[in-house]
Amino acid sequence: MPLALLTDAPLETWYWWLPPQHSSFGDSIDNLFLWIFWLTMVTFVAVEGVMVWFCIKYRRNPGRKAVYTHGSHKLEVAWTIIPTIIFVIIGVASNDAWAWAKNPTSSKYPRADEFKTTLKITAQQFAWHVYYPGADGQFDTDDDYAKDNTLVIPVETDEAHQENVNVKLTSQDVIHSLFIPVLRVKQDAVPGFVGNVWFDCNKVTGPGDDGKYWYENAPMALDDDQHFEVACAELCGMNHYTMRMVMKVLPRAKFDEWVRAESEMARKVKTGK
Amino acid sequence: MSDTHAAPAHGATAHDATHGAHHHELPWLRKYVFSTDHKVIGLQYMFSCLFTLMVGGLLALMVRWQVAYPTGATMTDAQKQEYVAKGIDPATVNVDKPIPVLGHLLWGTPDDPTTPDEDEHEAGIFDDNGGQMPDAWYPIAFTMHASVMIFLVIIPMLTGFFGNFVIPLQIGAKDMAFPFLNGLSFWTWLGGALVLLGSFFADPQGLAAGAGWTAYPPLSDVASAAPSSGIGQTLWCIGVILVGTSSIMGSMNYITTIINLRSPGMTLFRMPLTTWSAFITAILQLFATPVLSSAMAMLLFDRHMGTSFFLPSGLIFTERALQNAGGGQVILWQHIFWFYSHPAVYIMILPAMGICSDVIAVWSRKPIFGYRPMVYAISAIAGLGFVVWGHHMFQSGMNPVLGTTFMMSTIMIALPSAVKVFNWLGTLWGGQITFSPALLFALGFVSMFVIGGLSGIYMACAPFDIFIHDTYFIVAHIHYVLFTGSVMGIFAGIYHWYPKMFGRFMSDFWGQIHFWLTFIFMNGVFFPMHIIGLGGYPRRYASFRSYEFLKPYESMNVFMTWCAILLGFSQFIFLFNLLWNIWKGKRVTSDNPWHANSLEWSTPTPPGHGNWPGSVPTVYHGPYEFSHPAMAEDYAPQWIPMPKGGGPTSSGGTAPAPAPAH
Repeated sequence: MPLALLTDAPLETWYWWLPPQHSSFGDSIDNLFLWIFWLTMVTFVAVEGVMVWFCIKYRRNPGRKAVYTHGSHKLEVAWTIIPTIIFVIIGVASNDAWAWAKNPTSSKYPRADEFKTTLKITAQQFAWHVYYPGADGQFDTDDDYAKDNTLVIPVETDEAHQENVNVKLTSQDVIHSLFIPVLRVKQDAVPGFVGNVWFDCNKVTGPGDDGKYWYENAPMALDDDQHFEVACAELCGMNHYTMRMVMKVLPRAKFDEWVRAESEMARKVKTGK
Repeated sequence: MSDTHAAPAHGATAHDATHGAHHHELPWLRKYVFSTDHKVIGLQYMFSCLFTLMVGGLLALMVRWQVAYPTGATMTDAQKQEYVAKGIDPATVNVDKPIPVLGHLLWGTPDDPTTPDEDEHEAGIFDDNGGQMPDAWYPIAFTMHASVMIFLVIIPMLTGFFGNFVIPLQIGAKDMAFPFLNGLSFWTWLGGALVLLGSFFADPQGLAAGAGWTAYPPLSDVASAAPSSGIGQTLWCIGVILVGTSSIMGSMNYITTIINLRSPGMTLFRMPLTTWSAFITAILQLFATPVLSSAMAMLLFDRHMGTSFFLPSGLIFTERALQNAGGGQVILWQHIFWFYSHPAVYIMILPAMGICSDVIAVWSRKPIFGYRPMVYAISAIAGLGFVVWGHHMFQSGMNPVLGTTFMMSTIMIALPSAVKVFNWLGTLWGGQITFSPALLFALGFVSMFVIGGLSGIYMACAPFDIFIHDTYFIVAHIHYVLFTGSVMGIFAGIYHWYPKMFGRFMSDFWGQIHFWLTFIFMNGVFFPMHIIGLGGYPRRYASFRSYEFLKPYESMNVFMTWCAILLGFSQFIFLFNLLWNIWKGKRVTSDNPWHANSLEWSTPTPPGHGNWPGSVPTVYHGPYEFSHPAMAEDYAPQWIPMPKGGGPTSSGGTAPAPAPAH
């Protein structure tokens, strides 16, 4: 059984379907998928069914002559117009979710100045460097710190605290792609170019079995806690498949606690105090 | 290679003696090797492509094996106990499964754990890695698989082979407009093929190109980016330029031939759809391929002449800043590359659509339903094909506003494809369908193209593409279009025109067996890819073992791999059927054994040099006058006038008939 292979650590498992999703725009993406899924299933069954039916009904039968027809103008018009309407609807319906997920300057949500957390991620062969601004929320200060292959983000705790994360994404060597399956996020990390990705998450990854978060333990073992996985989705060289990052999603209070601890350490290392 | 080229020669010699006796005989080398006859060149393409198909197929199986059985396998408890019983520490034993036979040949034999002391390291052709594919080699395997299949199998099969063999025969031309250019085109292609295949042996480790067939820089651009970014990548660029040059020469030739050399009465709208699609494909090739060649040239300049078309400033490789580079744009490559490569997708499917249209009409004894809409649909696909390339770049960092534009154009390209499918169904309706291997493959093409087309809508929808981009869903889609689509179209065409090529029949029985095995196993390979793609399984991963969320898919990967192996072996039935019957098949007694209408069936079988012994035939009506009520026979060849009052007087679509009016 495939499920037996899994460890207890990940939050959920999935097999036949999309992974569970935990972001605000993820729902509209999954809904689009469902609409297209049923539309294509119906079309598929209808077309293949008709084909099989014709193949059986009109198999060779000596003595009968095939119907002589060069086509039907009405039918051609019908099966041009109807799919056109369906396709336009799909296109228009998709555009909203697209703007929501990809275009931070779109009027829908959110504006570039409304991001609660901003991180920098630089990809390289074969690792992700995540730069955190530290407790002061400003980059290029003494309390900045970086983590390799560890993405920690806050989660909204109630309606009033709409958390979201803006990532300034780039690469130092070849093209990589930040792929967070459970958040329906994918964006190439392109060298020579800083791209904007934004996402949010409404699901907390809890502490390990001992009730402690990984940063409260020594030695720290990331995989002991619940976590999500982040993958590289653009071929980046021979060890492309090893570019795994662990994502932790903490309640705001826990997140702040972790940030303060890390900032303190970073400042000590940098300033010697 | 020379063996494969000689093969058609024997077959053709025997029959040419009967039909081509009135022609002056050319020396053997001139006639069968450095030939300018379009049919010989076509067959040269076919036999070369059968060879490259095997190479590409083997590479595919290596890819599949690695995905199913990557390194780092864990032992079962039973295995552990077995080793403990033998007195061996299980921790020292490697239970990985190297590729059978091929792995040992290339990377040495695995070490036997029961005799750990003996020095049994034995290097393979490339290296000693215990028979296991090295990490650096996996990207090479899938890069070269794709490159071989695209540039050395599907494009040359569809345009080089069918284009060459069928176009002059169907339009009533004695040969191509530029016979010498035609031969030159084949030899340039062969040069490109040898460079691409030879790149495996330019390096002692077998490091051919490994940056994906899309060769995105900087991975393909910077020598220190990957072990495969060496001489192999350079040769890859050169090989693709040569193959592209051949395409350009071929397409100019086809366009000129179709415009200028049609026989009397053969108006454009009396051309069979195979020729129509070859015509439109040639136009696509002529406009798109130079763009690819220029991209390759720029990449070569970047690699060897110090330019930085695709290299931005500040790159750091292996902790060292890249000197002498900067100012370039990484995404520029993607725009240029996909400006060719998206039309290339249609170059690889349109000719198969044409072939299947002809096959379906002949074997269901029906006029093509909506001949003109079919032609317009081909043209629409070709036209729209030039404005959809951005859908490959939805996640590339291209402005998301552009994404909206490309999403709309991409969704719209599904429309002409849908029209074509409906028209094929319309053609089957009311027919007298004979399930020959040719028709089975054509129906297989239609039914599988439906899957490939419908799955295209998922990725055309840009927001959902965020999730499935670069996952196995994409791999499933392209294989449903290119393998279960184009390759089935190629099989349909070969089964259909084989009697005309060699004057003998292929075995119908083995053709049926070949179809069903191929049909079942290809779905076994490619359908589960949709499922693991929906799970988010990224493509181009040498191993699933790094990720917890990929581990559940192990059993499905193993299933797909074994289907792929069986699919590969099923093709030997076809190969044997094809080769054996060149000499041993049942002889064709009629020049028109399928009772078809188009002009290629009016030639002697097989056609000699110049195709028709006398002058070219005159064409009186469209190519799809099957089962006309005024005719006793259920077909009306284009070269025979219809009886007065009963037949259509002008182009294919306007016959007076007891049918829904236009």
